[in-house]
Amino acid sequence: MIPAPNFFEGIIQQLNTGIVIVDQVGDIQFWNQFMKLNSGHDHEDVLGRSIYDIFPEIPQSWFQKKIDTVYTLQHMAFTDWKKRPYVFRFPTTRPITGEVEFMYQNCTFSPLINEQRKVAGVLIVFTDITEVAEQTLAMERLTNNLEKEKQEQQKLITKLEEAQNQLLQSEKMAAIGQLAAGVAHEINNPTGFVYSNMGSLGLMVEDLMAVIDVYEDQLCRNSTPEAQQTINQAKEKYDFDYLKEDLVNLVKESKDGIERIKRIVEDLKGFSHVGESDWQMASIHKGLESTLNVVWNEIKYKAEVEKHFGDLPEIECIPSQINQVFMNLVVNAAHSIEKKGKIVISTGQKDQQIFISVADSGCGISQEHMNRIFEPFFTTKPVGKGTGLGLSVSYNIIKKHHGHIEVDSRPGEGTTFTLWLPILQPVQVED
Amino acid sequence: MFTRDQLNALQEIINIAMGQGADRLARLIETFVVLSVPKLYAVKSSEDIHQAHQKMSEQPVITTRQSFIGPFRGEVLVIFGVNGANELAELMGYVDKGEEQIKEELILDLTNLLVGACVSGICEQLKLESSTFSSPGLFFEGGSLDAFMQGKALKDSKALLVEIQFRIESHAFACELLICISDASIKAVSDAVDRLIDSV
Ligand SMILES: Nc1ncnc2c1ncn2[C@@H]1O[C@H](COP(=O)(O)OP(=O)(O)OP(=O)(O)O)[C@@H](O)[C@H]1O
Ligand SMILES: [Mg+2]
Repeated sequence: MIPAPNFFEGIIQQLNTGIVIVDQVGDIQFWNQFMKLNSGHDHEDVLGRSIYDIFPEIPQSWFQKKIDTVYTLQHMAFTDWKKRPYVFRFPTTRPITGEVEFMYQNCTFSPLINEQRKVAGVLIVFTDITEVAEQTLAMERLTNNLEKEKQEQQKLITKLEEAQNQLLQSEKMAAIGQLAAGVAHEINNPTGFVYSNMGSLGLMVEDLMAVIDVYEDQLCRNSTPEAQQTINQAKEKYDFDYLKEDLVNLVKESKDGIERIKRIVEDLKGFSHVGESDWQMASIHKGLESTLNVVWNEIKYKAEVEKHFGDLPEIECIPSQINQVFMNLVVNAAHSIEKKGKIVISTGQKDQQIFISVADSGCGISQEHMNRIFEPFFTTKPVGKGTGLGLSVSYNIIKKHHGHIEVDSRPGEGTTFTLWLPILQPVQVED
Repeated sequence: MFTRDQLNALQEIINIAMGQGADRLARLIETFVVLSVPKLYAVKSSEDIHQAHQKMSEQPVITTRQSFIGPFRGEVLVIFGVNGANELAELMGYVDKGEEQIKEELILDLTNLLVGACVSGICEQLKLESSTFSSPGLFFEGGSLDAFMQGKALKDSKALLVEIQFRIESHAFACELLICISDASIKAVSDAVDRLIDSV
């Protein structure tokens, strides 16, 4: 085939690519069919007119700099859709299924050199890359979403770890509780018979003393002086008067001791409430008393405990868990006191809620620690003394009971923790 | 790969090319620009880039690249400071500056200008057919060039590297160009140099 004179122009007109030629001031010298179809302007209409008039959306100083680059440097210039989606605002090439409104474009500006090796015009060629752009944008969205999901997952993992730690702590408490209950049970039996033996022993010692009194009386009246002297010597040697007195006291003290052991064992059993992880109506005061007994050792040298108990109804709760909270608060209060101080425990009722407050005269909590104390593992105590789980576990237990915890603290003066609990749980108790 | 004579001649040629490039750039952006005397290195590995380049290698940079294709063939890396070329927004015809989008397009525009001025000048001086260019792109952003190049072997292991500093004092702006000429066009370059030497 022999090319007709306008053969190449035919090709250029048919190219599925925008082709525009402008001169040094931006007047249009040529444009092809693609431009006509997209802009709606015929070649004849635009010839010799400024490109800035035809496309007022083109930023003129920026565009002119491109033309100048081509003229001055005889060098190409480029635009990239990622930085500048389009130069010519043409409607999208996918009006039905596409997601974007306009045609994405990559443009190239090249010098047209004449015979004098001078630039005679700027050839602007641009391609429609809406397809690529849409895919790339979709990919970017996808990547962003994935990144977001990843972050969400990370958050969930952190939460899971926290939950697991709390579970571990609860499990630890439960294990300790079981151990305590087992020990308590074992101690209960021997304590029982020692207690009753002590009772008999006390009576027997009294009887024995009565018999000895009779012996002495008779001895005074009827025996020889030698016999009396021997007996007095023996009495003196063994400090009989003291022995007599002390024997009674010893038995009495032992009885007291055994009684206390009995009570602690009872409390231990009550405190751990083995098997009792059920919701039930329970007395808060009982729980407080038994908790205080269990932790008495930890606080007795540190603080005197004052109790201001109001009238409380039984409340619906899981007693072993509530006791655990009491214990955490009371032990924290004792720890906050450096030498000697006071712990005041008050209770009361307000509408359908009850409160239990534990106030100490300890070191207080500084402002910057205040909003961290309920975090798991937040502790200011030395390694081995605190795990930092006490308050976070307490917080969750109270939350599960649909109550809340209030803290009021003055550094250097003391801290008051107040628990608020509803008397009855909302209808669906288990979640 | 080059004889001493060739290298000397090449240095001379590139000096002239850069002088012209600076002149054209100045006219284009209507500001006085300074191009340093180009330094030539024969590069064998990325190690050499590191050495060519110790001043800037510590600081975080933005690096762009653009390739030129023809008998004279290779790639140019342009190394900007972290601020890119924001100072030059106005000179480059941008009206509202400051946006991230503009910052990126701006350094690509500037990359294109510098590469055009330098590479076309060299082609002209060597009387080689002029190169065509790919569109400029971002190479990497943030780290130091040194860290980025660490362990990366350059594809063309024997290349000529031309290091040029570009400075606009009135706008406190500077950047650095590394023109890497590929192995494949070394012969074209040395032939062109020979022709020039012979013609003198
Ligand atoms: N009554 C209080 N007075 C002063 N600081 C307190 C008081 N109660 C809690 N804190 C502060 O809150 C921190 C966290 O208490 P939390 O009970 O959660 O952990 P802990 O007591 O350190 O360790 P443990 O897990 O053994 O209870 C404590 O380390 C302490 O700094
Ligand atoms: Mg604690």
